[in-house]
Amino acid sequence: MLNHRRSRWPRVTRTRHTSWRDARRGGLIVVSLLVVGMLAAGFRSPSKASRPSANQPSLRILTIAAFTGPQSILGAGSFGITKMAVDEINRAGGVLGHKLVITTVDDRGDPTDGAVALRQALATYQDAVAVTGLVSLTAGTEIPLAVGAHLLTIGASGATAFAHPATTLHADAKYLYNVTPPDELSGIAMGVALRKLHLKRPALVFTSSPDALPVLQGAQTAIQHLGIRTAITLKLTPDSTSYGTEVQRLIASHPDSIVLEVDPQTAGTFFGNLSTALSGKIKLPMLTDGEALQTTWLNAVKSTAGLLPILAREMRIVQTPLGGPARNPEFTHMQKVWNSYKIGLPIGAPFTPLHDIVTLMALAMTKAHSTDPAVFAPDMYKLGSKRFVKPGTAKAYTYVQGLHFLASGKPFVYWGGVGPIDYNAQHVIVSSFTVLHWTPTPGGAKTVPPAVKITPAELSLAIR
Amino acid sequence: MSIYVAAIGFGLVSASILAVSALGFNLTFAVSRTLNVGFIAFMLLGQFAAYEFQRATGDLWLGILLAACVSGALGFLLFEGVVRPLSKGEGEPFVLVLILLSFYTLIASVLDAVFGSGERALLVPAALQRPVHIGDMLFTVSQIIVMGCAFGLVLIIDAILRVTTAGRDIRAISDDPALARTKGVPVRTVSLAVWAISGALGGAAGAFLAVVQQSFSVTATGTYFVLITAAAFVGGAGKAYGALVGALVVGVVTQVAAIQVQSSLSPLIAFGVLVGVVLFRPGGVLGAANEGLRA
Repeated sequence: MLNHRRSRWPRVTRTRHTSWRDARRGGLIVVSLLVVGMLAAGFRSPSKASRPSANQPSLRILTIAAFTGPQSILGAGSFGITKMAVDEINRAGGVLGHKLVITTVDDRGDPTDGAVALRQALATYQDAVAVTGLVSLTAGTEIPLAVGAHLLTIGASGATAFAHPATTLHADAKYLYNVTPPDELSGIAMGVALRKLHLKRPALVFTSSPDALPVLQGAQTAIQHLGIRTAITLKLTPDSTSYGTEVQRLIASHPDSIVLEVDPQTAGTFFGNLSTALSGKIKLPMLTDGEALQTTWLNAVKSTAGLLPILAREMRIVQTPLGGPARNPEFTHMQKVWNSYKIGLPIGAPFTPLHDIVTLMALAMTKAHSTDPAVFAPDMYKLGSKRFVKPGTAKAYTYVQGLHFLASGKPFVYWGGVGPIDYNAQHVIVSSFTVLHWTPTPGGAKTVPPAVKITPAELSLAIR
Repeated sequence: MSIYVAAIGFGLVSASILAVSALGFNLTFAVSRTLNVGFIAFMLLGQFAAYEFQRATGDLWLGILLAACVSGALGFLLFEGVVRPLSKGEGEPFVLVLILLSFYTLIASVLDAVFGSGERALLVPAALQRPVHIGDMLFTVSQIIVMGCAFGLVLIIDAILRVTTAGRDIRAISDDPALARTKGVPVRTVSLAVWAISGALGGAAGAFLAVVQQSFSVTATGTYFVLITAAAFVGGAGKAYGALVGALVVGVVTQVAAIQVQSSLSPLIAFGVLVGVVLFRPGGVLGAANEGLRA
């Protein structure tokens, strides 16, 4: 029972005038703080890019992402790469006589804010044909709205809900094209990688965050089907002060490897604790995904003395080649243009496939002679999937090349800068994976051969 | 190695930082009767200030000391600019809580705008990262120093509250501000000093956390406030030693619980303890007899 007499809470005595005055003063301070906060947070956000040609009907692409707040890197990347594709298309005369324009919609990295902002944008811009951005963090609320509006929806979410879009989005699933494979697929690839590297007793170390758990589920599914025995599964609370106890449990389980998917902050603390527990002598093969090569991840782990060379020796990266550097002229061109935009991010996944899918959209519109997503979207994947390559099929690396092939009637597949993006009939990316070593570089890290390749067939065998 | 003893050791490291944070939180609660939900702002500022000062001076501990001063100055300004004006009269406490929450958002947004959202790390010399075994407990040298500093700070504040005139004034305000004012206690000056000390403790705790966690970012400290409030209320809100006791309970319980359950569930265990304490000992584990700010 609460002891009210001894309560430390102040007693509230209402006095009408002073209360109102205080509340008003408080309100002013709240508003002032919020205004200053918004100004502070907003001065790095990109400006809206809306440059329709005069007297031309425009087709609008809504790019929804975090443009302010801690996740603003996502907005900068999504906007930059979409703009790159749009500029290229507009320079070639646009699509069926229309110029493309982009309007940015700020969801601040919050799914609730995103739903409100997208609803407002959909109501405001009747000329919208497509929505891009839509990363995992906010996709849960935004993708259903975008496909529900029957717009071409270019997502960047590997979330479970969109791994089988027809189940969750029903008939509207035909409007969705995700540029990332389902997260489960990454986990399955990690399971297959264990088998290929002859590792038989892995410890699974994952953060208990929504974006890591589908990967864990995929890994567990593959491990079970492949008859591999898990030493221990640890689900870590992100950002804890210490994972010392979990590290002791891991060591006591005697694993022969570690499969992990942890955020940068958690990785820094976990590896620091692991290094201390093993006196800096970590000799365990590790598998993780491409996030470990990002600067922020490396910054978090490199503060532990001597850890970076150990991780470079023991840890391999399991990633889809989609979005990575490609050996074709368009990618080289893309790199140059990207650098000229001065976005402050290196070109690469998850943003780069967005360039190709926007270009694919423009080619599909041209082929279908329609800007109605209901007409051009359902079969858009056929223009860009490797499975439709036959002897004599040409490869188009650029929008201009694609237009040329369309005009001449020559069969072609749009290869793009990083492609081809191999969609199945449900518009889900069926990607191969590679298992790579990596090495630290002055600016971050890069993968190095030899690579172990995992084919889509091996992935499907792992869960059959 | 007994994993239970080892877990208690890891819990002590967590508890030391939590104790400093909860003490800073408790001090302002005692003198201003204000739930400072923006307390994490002090910790965030402490982390980034320590990072910059370490880069400027090349000395980790001097960097942390200077960072504590900067956070203390922020506490000073927060009291003078926001808390004191709004504490006059009988205004709604909710308004002040809302403003303090906005204050945290403001500081986080400014730091994000200036430094970006990526991970940063204080440079802990390799010699301080060496493992040290004390029985079955395992620490690094830097963790032992952090624990020493943190528990030392709690003892110093305790001594100030026990034996100094300022401490007596703080306790008087905590018991009854109106009576303290009539007895000639300079309430405004003492409260100002307490808010500055609270800010400094928050800044130091943030920097200690960055040392122990190996890295920090604008977003990573946000959830820590939950543990601070748990520690503060388990020990007894408004009590100096309560912060230490609460931090020990929360810190050790979460680590020991992680032996048997997934670590993702260990915060729930901490909350179980909090709910149990609130239900059965609403004044905290130190007991209802310790009314007011006690050392």
